[in-house]
Amino acid sequence: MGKARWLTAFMAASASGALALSWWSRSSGAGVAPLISVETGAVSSGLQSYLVAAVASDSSAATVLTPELAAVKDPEVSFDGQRILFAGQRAPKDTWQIWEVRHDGKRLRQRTDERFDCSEPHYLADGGFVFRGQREGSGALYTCGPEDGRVTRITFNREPLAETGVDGDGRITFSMGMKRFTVNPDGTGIALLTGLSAARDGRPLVAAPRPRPMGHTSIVDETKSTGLLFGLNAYKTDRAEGSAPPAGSLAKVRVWSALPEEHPLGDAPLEPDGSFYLEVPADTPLRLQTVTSGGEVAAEMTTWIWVRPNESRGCIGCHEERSLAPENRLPQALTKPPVALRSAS
Amino acid sequence: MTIGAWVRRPRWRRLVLVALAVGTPAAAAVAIRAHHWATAHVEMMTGDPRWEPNCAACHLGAGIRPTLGWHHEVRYLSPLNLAVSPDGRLLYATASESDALLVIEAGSGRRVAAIPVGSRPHGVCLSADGKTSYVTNRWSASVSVLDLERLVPLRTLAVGSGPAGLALSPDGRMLYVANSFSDDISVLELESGRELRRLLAGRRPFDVAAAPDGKRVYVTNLLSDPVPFRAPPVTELTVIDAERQVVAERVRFPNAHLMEGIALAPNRPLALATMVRPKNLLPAVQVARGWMLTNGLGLVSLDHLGSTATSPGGGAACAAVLLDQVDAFYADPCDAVFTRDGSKAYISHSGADAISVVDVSRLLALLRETPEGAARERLADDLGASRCFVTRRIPAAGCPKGLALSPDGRYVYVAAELADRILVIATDRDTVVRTIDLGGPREETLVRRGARLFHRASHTFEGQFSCRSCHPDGHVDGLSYDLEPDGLGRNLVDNRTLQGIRDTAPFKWSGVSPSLYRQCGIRFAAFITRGERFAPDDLNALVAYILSIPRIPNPNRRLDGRFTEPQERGRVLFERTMDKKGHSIPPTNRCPTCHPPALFTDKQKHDVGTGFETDTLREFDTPQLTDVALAPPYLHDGRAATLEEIWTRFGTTDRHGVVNDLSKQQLNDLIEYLSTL
Repeated sequence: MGKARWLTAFMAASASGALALSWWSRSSGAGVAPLISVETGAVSSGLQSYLVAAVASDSSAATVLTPELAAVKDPEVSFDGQRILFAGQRAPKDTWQIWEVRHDGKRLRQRTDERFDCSEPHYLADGGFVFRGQREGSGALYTCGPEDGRVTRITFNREPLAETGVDGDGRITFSMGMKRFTVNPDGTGIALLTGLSAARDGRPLVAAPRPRPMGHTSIVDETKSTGLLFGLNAYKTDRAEGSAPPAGSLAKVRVWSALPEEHPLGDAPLEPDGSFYLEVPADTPLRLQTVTSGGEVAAEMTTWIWVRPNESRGCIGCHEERSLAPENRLPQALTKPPVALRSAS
Repeated sequence: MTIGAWVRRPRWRRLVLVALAVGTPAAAAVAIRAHHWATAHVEMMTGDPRWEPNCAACHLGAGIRPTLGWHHEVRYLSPLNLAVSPDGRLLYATASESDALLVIEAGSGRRVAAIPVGSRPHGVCLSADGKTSYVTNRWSASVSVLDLERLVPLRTLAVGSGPAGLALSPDGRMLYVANSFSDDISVLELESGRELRRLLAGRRPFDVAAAPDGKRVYVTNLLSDPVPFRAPPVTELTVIDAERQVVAERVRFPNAHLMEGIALAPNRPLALATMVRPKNLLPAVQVARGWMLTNGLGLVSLDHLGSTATSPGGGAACAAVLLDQVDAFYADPCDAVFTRDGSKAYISHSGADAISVVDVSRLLALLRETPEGAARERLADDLGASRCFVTRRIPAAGCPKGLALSPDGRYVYVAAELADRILVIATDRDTVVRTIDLGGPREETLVRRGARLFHRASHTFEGQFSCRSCHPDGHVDGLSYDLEPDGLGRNLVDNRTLQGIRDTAPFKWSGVSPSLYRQCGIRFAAFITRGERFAPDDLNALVAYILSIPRIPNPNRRLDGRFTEPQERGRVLFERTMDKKGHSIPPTNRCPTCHPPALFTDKQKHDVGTGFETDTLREFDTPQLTDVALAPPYLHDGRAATLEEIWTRFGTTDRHGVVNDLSKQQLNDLIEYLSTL
């Protein structure tokens, strides 16, 4: 065979290969990130909502991803852009559970099986996800492990939670009352949100890869029943100058528990430098008050906080300024053992 | 033929089959057992079930067996500091790992020459005419004087140990050199080459800046002065009277250390020094919001020096501000440079791979608005302040270190140490407009990859600190920490060096980590960075790097290897078996029993009576004594400020070696000997 014929044969083979490749990439949707949306339509039994994946340039190519489900909401795309996590109902009267599906509609699977409504799922850096569970009126956040699918409750306050999200630093954010809070994926480190939250901005959801936030190595030990809580200086507040408690005026910190109902757990003395150090029951809604030497309540928390089992929690002050780093000073309370305040229950 | 007959004849066939029948299950049993053992071993050494048994990964790749230390053969350049010729045409960069001063054309990026200098060159400065350069050789205790016209070395000047930063007096007659290992400052008269003075600095003096009027020279220090146990660190800015060549003042910045780079404003009496504000007195229960450490700037109003300030904002002279943000940290600030008009300052952050641009007027306005006293102290901890004066964060990959401004003020050059590059920032746009590749090796060895991980803060929550933040030069930061959740305010631990720790396992004062894989992997993520564990490949590289960190030349050893008389007397005391009264010292109370050469550790835990009221443990890992004099404070929690205090304040029972029969002079001799190890 001459050189020219070899070349022709090679070119023909290359061309057919390229054609095949282009057909494959079109049919598999490679390279075009579909838009994910929730659509609603009328069916014989009423209204049905479903997840739809559509390619922006080709409206005829829209795919219904969840034909089996009666209703869907709160979709979120995985970090690799391949999967969608959402809340769904199999039948209109079922509880809402968390489901996952690939962006091409394959591998639909139910990820939670709880007796309460689950919603607002968000992927976590470790491959698991966080969601809001609506249980007897008050909501709480739960996480579901990446491999074992184990569901763990991670928030223990009493107020309703809303607008959950996961920030760029890997922490979970949520609203409680009028404030925005942040918590680690294991439920430790509940704090007022200090930075900008990555709240969903209403733009269409694109099934495209996005940066995976940093994971978190947990020190929670479920075999323990308490955690540690210390404050560096109860005199440090974000109140206007002059209205802060005068030095030496505070005598005690009083801790309230909301389990089983609201009751004081006990008092612990405040050190002269304003520091305190407590051992408190874990996974319990707690509220702290500062009490003057005359027995009056000087200040109190307006929201409930908690510690997870084996967590050590520190605060700078009471209603501390959010942008303040702690002072590098040995708190007097930490030169002694913690004051143990155990639950009455 | 039946199968039985086939097996029976010939005989060798039968023997082979019997051997196979017996041997295969036996070999399989051995293999399974070995695999089980290896799995358990790997899990014990790493504490991480994700690791697959892979003998070569740890025992060959990481260089635990030096026979396959191939990665050491690759010599990177690792530029640390820069100077620019007066006409702006040439750049000079110290190639710290190739022992050369690189000469580069600023325009084309072409390397003109690599002039050989001493070991581990660090700082560089030029004479006013640009014809001569001075390079500190950190490991050679010398300054190389180079002829930049002929591109050859002229002479070598002896200085103290570990020379790092240097500066010429404005008249070019004197050279000031910060000797980072011997904690002093050499004042050299260049004409004669003579060292006129050796001035006492703080600890680990590092960078030098000379005032243009020739009256003062300022020297930063990395480590805190000795402070009482559990007191905040206080780090010194040493101010030299350049007319009399004496220390004029020691400005002390409380709650600061790692003051690495200093720059003087060209248009006002202001100095900026980079600093880290550590939180070592607080239990390390979280990282968020600056609970481990914060990164900032110290400001010195040079006109007001003389009324030494001791609070961050106290007095008229000093103030501190943070370069971090509430939810993003800029780790390891290490050098500073002003623009020509002094309106902006650029700060390199080697841990954050970024350059911060500071608007100097806005920074000074913020200070003017903040009254001295409590408000200034608050400002020094305010993570929200930087948004008032940091106008830009310029991404600068590759561990940005030394900075230099071009003479026309149009460019800031950045030495990217671990990328073997120089980044060029245009000062009118504040972006990197060009990258000069210095032509280092292309391959990334395991050790180099580990070095990059060690110096990068991206694996820490919100990028707050890198490994290097607590282990500058792979050494110690001289602080004690309350690290693990073993009772808050209890079980404090003194930072231990990473230099020369190969073969000193187990690690930590409690001896709890059998390997660095465990220490730097799961424990590091859970208790220190509060982030993600390193992936196995990254951890392997990090461990390889840490094990490769060498010991620095010990300034207390004579070059000929012989002991001085006091050192020899100390050696005899260290090795003695009888006390002064002629009584035999029990073997358990003799120094070499627990501290045998060559590393001077038996790698065991002992109770020598150093468990204090804050400790749960009574037995502690025996530390190696190599370079012990270079790493104060002492004992597991750092409560002994000096070696002497180990025995005078905390060794009254003779359990930590029999020493109470020794005279003060003999104790001095013992310490002289220990300093040579």
